[in-house]
Amino acid sequence: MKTRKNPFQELYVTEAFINGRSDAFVEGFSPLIVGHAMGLFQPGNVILKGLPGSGKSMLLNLLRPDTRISYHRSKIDFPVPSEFASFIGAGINLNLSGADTFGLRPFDSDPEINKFVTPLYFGDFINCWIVHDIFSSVKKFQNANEESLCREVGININTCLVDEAARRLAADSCWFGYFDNDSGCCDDLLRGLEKRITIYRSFSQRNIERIPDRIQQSKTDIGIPITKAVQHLRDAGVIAQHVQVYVRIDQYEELAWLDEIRSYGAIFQQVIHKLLGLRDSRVSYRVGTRRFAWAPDPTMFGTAARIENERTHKEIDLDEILLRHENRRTWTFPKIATDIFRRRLESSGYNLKGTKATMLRHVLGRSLAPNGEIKEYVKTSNPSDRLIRFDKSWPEDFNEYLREIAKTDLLSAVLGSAWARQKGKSAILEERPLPESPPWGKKVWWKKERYPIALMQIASRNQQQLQWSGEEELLALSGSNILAFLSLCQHIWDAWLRDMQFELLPEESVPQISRSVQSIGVQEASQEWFQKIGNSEHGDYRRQRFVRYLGEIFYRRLIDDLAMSNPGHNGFSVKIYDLESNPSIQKFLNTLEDFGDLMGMKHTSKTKGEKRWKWYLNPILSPYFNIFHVHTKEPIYVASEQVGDWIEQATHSGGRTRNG
Amino acid sequence: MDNSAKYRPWGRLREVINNIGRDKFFFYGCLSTEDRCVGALSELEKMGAIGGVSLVEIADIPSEYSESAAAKRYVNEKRFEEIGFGSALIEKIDLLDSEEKVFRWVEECIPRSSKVILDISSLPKRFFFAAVKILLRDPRVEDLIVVYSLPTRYYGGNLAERPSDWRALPLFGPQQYPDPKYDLAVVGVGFLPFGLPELLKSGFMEAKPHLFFPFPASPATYTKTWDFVRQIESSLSLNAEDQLAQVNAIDPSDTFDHINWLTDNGRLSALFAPYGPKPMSLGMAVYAAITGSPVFYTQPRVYHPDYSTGIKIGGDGHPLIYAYCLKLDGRDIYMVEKK
Repeated sequence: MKTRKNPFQELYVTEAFINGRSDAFVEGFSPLIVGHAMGLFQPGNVILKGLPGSGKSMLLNLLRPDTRISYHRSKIDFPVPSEFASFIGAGINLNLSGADTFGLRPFDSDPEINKFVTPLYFGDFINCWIVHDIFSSVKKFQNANEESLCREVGININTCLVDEAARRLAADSCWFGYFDNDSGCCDDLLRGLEKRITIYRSFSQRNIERIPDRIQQSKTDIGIPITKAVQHLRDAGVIAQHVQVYVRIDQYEELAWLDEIRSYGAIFQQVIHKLLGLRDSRVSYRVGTRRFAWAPDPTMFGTAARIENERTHKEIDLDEILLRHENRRTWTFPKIATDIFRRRLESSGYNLKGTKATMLRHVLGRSLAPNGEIKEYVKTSNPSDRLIRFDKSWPEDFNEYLREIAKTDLLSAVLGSAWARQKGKSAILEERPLPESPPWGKKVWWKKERYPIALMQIASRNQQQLQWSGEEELLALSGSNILAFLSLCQHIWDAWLRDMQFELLPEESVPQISRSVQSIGVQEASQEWFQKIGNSEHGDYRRQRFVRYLGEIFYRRLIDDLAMSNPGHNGFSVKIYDLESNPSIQKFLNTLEDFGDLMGMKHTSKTKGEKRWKWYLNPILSPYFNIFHVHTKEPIYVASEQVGDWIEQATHSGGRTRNG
Repeated sequence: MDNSAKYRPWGRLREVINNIGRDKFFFYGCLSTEDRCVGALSELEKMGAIGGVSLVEIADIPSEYSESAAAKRYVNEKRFEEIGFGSALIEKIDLLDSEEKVFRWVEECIPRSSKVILDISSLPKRFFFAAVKILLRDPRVEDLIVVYSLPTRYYGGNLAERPSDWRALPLFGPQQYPDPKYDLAVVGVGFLPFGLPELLKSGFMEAKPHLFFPFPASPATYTKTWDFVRQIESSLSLNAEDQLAQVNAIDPSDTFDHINWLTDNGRLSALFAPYGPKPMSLGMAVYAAITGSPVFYTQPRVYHPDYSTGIKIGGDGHPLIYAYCLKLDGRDIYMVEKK
């Protein structure tokens, strides 16, 4: 290693399309995630839901033949258990392929006819593309000269059999005679499909005047040539009967955008739904999408029938799988993140030998407990009254009592100052003699729930930013999102490289990064994520302004809450039925949740039987707003109307609260 | 032949028009919220060089700016009338309207003159790329001049909002199948890289990114453009030595030559992401139109009503409006001649 490298410089090693980069994928991919999404590697259609950066593309990339071949060549076990590994993958990216350009140019001058035929041409294009990709995948395996891999997958290496399957498919009635005269082998079939695809693309780009009669008269039914292709491959003995064919549909959610320009998005989505509705065991589809981009009640093209979870397809929610629930032991994300961290360091040439702890812990250390953390904010053993914050009405001997406590335990003194302000607890102001051990000292949960707000108030009174560091806090800030985790690591490593540029350190030794340097990196990452809300793909400054507005409301409420009665006011909650009666607000909040700006979850109301939904900022945004990320106690209870007011004010104030 | 040695006439509007010796042009422009949108038209009218006009008035999607944007467009409509033209010459098309409407707007005016001026100062890329391609390849257009007015200043906040996902600009989508392996991804550096990292990671990883950095840049734009580079770099490793080139911000010919040089006169395949200044984007549009290369962009849905103000005045006291000849006497000025 000539220069110290940031192992996280490139964020998208496993997320990206991997042609030519499959070796990097093999090095960077954590197999630990596979066990949580096994449905992807079993027959049946799957809708894989998740936030941007949750790992959808990473998982779907495992279906690609290049990935499989790379694993085989690098002699690394393919991460899918062998009983589920007999499959070939194919797919279409609706954006890259140009499928989304359908409707750009009318196929017919009569608008009624055009409305009818456009989805049919769109379906035909998809059929051609996927059939081409299925045959290309088979050929890719055969041409890889890896006989044992073909055996493992269940592919016959005899290329004559593929020609036979192609001949049979070309002669199949599903093409309505398109291939009648010119398909003698697989390459002929592929060439015919390429020609047809190129004609569609040329038509969209206005390079040809019309779709030739031969194609007009042989439009295929969506999905049928695909299942026929798989059937002929099986019948001809190219793939064994047990081999599954999984077809990826990428960028499904982007079709919705088309509605803004040519009203075909929803119809094209219905065409895709029809593929899933075919429920043909010969081929299974995989659709990656954001949670709210998948319609709750999707209909199929040309029929009123609907597709349903658990009947026509299975929905896998990656965010749900990776998210932390009540029981920390069932939280899968830390193991995956730790593994990815080690893999990144290893592939960047760092020497990982001789370290007993996990690499993540070795580099970042453990996060500090509240008592340790407070020492980072306040170094003196004689803290000023300003940090404890007395009330004017309090007797001086009570103030002195807190001052004494503060000399050894400032956190306890600040909690005491809140205790004396709380309803029903202020009796301590009158109680004499004052108790030797403070009453809040024994209230384990009361204290635990208030440590974050107490630390936030102390840091603020001492004019400091909250600091984040250590393994536990980094994982928490990642919000169980792999991209957020990598982004935090990238910025921390960058901050370390800047800090250490003149230090003499063997280039390959793994650093242990100081708390202060980590904190700088975390702040930088947080700022970048805040900026991204407005200026990344699908960025929206309305969302950014609302997030800023919320962040400032939360900050102000938490800082002003001297009694610490509401330590959960870094989130807000709305009754579900109230929300449902305000669809525009619900839609806006869903969008924020869908892009990961807010994290939403159901919660139990303090009013018995009431169903509510609550939202917090994405934890990675907490450092930007100087708000703790821990969710404790009750969030702010508001009506949807209030949220509407916030949205309105955020839009017209640039996201600034009146105080902000 | 070395393309860089070719003479491609461009310069200040008045000089170019006087030097090429033509009289009346058909003028395509855009009625927008910007003062500069009628700047070139006003100059040309004073020179007596206008033989016909069609402006397209483009409304963004409804937003908190709609009202103020409509008011600003109204002010410019009045200016248009003061120059001597009626509102009947204004075609209304929404920013995200069907591409067909855009094509029709351009194509329907072609029979009206073989001499055409296209003012791209305020035309969104979704419109001007398609217009350049249609006008370039239509043999009825014998003289094609593109004009561009520099504003006095740009708005200091967010210039554009709510980008769409990245997709090919109309008429600049991929055509061949299977898709060729793209050797280069040429990126014009601008203010906001809306979704560009996603584009580069999503399917064209094999294409080596090359960033064209506009030069010279004013101090105000300099920070924004470097911030753009920094944002790209946080997703992709870049080698400043061979992946970052400084390109003349007002000379499309320079952009065109850089592309020719990078692609070895079209031998290597390239895709484009035009986020930089309009003249730089024009260079990309011309190259991509000639070679059939794809162009991808994340079209914003909303532009700030104060996107820019004024028209910059040069040291000679005249507005800084540039003209670029793309076709003269039916002859293409820009060509890619493969070795």
